Amino acid sequence: MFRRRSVPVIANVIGPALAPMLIMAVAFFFGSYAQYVLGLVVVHCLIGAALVMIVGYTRVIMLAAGAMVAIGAYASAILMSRTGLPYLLTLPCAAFLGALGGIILAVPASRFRGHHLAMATMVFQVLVIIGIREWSELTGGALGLRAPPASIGALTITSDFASLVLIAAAAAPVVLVLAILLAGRFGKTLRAVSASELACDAFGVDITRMRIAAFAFSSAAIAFAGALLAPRVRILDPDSFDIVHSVIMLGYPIVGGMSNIWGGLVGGTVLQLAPELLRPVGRYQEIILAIFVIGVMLAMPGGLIGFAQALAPREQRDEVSRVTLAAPVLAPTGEEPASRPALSVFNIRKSYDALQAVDGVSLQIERGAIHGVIGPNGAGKTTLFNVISGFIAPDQGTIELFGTKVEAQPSRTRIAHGMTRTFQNVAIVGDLSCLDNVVIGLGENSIWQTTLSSFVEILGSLRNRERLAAAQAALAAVGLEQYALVPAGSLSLGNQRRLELARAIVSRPRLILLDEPVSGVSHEEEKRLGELLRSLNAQRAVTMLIIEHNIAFVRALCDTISVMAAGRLVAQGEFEAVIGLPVVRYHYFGDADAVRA
Amino acid sequence: MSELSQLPLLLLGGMRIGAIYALSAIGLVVIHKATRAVNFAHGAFIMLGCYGAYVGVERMQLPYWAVYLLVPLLVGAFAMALEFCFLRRLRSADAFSTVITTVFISVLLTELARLVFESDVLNVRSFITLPPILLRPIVLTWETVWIIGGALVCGILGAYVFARASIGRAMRAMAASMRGAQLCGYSVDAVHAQAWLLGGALAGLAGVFVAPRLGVSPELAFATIIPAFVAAILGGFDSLKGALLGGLLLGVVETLTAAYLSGALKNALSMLILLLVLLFKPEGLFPERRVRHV
Amino acid sequence: MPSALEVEGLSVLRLRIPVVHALSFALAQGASLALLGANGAGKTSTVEAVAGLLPKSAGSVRLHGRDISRLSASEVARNGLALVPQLRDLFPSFSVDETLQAALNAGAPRGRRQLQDIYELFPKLASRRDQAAGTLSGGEQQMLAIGRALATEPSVLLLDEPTSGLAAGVVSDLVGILRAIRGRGMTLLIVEQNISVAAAVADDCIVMATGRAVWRGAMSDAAESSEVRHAYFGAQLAS
Repeated sequence: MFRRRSVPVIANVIGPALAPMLIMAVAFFFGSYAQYVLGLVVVHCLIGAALVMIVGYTRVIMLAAGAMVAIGAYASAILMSRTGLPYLLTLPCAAFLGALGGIILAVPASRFRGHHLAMATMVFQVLVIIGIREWSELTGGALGLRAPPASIGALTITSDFASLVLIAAAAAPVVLVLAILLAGRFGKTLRAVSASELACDAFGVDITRMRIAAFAFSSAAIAFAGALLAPRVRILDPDSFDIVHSVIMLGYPIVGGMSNIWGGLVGGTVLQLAPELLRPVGRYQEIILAIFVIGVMLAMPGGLIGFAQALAPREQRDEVSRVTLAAPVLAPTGEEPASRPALSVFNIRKSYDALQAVDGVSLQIERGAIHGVIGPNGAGKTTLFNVISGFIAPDQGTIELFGTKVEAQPSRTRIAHGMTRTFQNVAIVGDLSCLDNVVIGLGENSIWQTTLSSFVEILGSLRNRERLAAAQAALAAVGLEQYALVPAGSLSLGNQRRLELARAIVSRPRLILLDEPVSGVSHEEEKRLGELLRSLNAQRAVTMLIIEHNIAFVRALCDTISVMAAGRLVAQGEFEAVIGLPVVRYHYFGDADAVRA
Repeated sequence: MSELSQLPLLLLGGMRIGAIYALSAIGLVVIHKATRAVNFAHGAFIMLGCYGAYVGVERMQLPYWAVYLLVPLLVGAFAMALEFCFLRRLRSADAFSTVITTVFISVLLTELARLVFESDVLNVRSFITLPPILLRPIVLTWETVWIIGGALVCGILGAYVFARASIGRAMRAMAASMRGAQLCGYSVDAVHAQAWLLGGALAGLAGVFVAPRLGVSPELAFATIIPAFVAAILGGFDSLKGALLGGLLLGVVETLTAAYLSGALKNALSMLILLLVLLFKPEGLFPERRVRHV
Repeated sequence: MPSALEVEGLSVLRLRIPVVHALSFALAQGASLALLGANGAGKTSTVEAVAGLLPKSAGSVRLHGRDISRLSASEVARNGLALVPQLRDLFPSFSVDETLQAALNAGAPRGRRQLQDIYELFPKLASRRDQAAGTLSGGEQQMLAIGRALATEPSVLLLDEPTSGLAAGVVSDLVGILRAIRGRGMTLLIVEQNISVAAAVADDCIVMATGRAVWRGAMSDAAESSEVRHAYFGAQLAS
């Protein structure tokens, strides 16, 4: 059976969770001051791990980490001193408030990208610090707030080592949860969103909610870290959480590496320890940090972890999975009688300013057909395709998928109607394995489903095995079974197009839109892809709609074709009949008689 | 709390700081428009301008006009060198890398300044020390006149260079279509270098203007970047005219808030304005005429 | 006398896949050549590599005998080879006038005369000189893209599918303009899918398929050639 898990559990889940314990064990052999420092190191490890989720996986420049730490630290201290809540109970409260802060911060995340988003996080940071400074009855304002010492029951924890034990014991489970989320489907879906929002949208991922969830989880962990920090710093003052600290924390995942949780752990450790180790050159700490980060950006985009991985033998990369899977032959989905066409498009219009990109196109694709749409550049084929997939709302017209009207529904619901697509510029996630890329194509990509399945994967549940088996079978169907665990970005373009096909068929759709499936591939590969499409069509009874410039390819593959020119359909029917029509010749080829004359 | 009779004076004070915000924001927008880079080190450039003013005026005892000429040139050249050494290599990478690099360039410059000049606030004497003009009930200092007038003229001049002169046209062409600009014969390297030179020089100039008022310290790097960003975003981030108006508006609103409401609210208010604009009018209050890409 | 443009053994890779393979051709001063072929044949890659927008994996390009193979796109433009790219790459917010000024100013500063020349060639543009490029119709944008290329005072002009996506009436206007440009002695290389447009503008043609030249000859013979039909429509349809 399928024994391999899609998550390297020891390396990416158990290992990171043990890291705080390891630091604790090391501290055992050192003196009190070192134990104090290492306690702080564990806290910053946790912050680094949480930042990997936002900075590395969501690709947001997070300038509000300091504010999140402050929220957690102040919440814990205030709850203890005002309400007498036991310290341990303040930890989840701090995390909850952090999550709330993360959600408030992430609301703009749904609207912005890039530097606007970075600035929104900066605004949040500054507002939180101003709030703390001004609300002095509660927070002590600029004078600072005394944080009570940590206590468990009647036991007050004051010694440095006891504090370290408490911090490590509390941090380890949070790191574990983060590690599971990052290594599991939640993290993979986040990376997919950052790599190609278009592809994720087409396969049912709600991009906005996904980003908000990432902010919430990550901010909760950072605030939790803040609550761990509070009893250690004793006096909380707003300056120690200001934007400068946010910038330094931003450096954790960058210096450590953003591709997995280890980057945050290593970055947090290195940058927190550096000031101590650099004490002899005390005044140069930040300068060295800045040079370090700039150097990493320029020369070592993978951070320390990426650098170390590049040095280590590339075991996983070259390893070809030897999964022996009795690939279940997927039966064609049982359907109602083919009374309605697979796709029925009526009178679609779409214009951009003066340009009428699609001008009243109507089209019907019968079930099981392979239909090609051809036409010279600028004919409106891509716009038509994007309208059918739901990326562009038409100005006018209706679209029916297997008898259901879908033109008013967002693109991410298309998969539920049995329609998937591929992309002209392959939209795969280069740093995820082929198998993980295909799993995204299975749908079920809501936050709860991805979160839950991150945990379930670790346990290797039956449901998860089924999903992996389905993905593996889809890879086998396109001839990529031996590349299951290879990063998708290392495939040739032809194989990347196959991978997109595997992702498109894995949910057993009834209709696939293929956007220039052989553009840019070699001649031989073009032939093989054509054969593959034919066999998928025959075996799985899947209807195909293809846009392609390569007319020879269309001719060999398609049963019927439509020809578009200047936004309109100028001809439709069987290839040989259509291509001979004077009107098609004219649009494609120009007026041959005029040449002779 | 102030009386209403103070209003004209407050407006002038607001315009004084607003003019400097405007100048800072224009430099930020010039760099963004031409190169698509968002320069988080702009505050550090302004800080360098301040230290330049301090060294030139107080240490080297140079004539003030020479400082006004030299410092912007030096800061501009420095910005150009940074582009050449670091940012040029990141041009093919995503915007993420560029932003992070400028954030840490800012940290680097701030800390270098702290190393050389310590953290103390250094004072720079005013450009003009003539007795104030008395226009009852307003007492107008020459410094105010100079800053409002000088910074605005420089800002408008910078904007004019960008909008009308051929160097500005090259930058805007590069921003609109890099391939198109190359096909016209504009070199990407040269245009980016010019943009950083101009943007850096405007930041340096803003620093020289602001040095006598704020005092010179490493904190200026972060203190000045935020209003510069707010002003630029108020203007839509791609409009020089918008940045100019955004800077003035921010300065006046801040000053009035501090006077009539509370000083603490001042900082929060600019942040709130920024957030509201980001949320509800991301194209800015004074956007450029937008033309759809074809 | 050296050829106006001489391309020798040009190869281009895209994503490690060869899209142009050892292509050679030469254009005498004032000559005009069409590159024909179906999409994906490598025509666009060819002209973009010649203009310096795409790196060449092998081969040389000489302009009036001078090697320009290693120059950047902007240097190629300043040396007198202009490309009108397929997607036009205009500056949407620039007015017509400003677009042309931008191209005129890129090299040595020149005056009003060239601008006047261009407006004579494109009377339609003259009437819209203050309108933003992004708001022009498709045909007008194409004219502006050609005008912009001419404003750099090229000795060789490359056109990449100038008629794609345009209505028939606009196409015939454009053909007239291209013939006029030819008539002024410009050396032309035109990439076209539309064979009648190519025939109206060019004397000779090269038909490309999968990155190679599969047929060369006079434009007037091209429409009859089975290789041409094969390149466009695939296998047995050549009859």
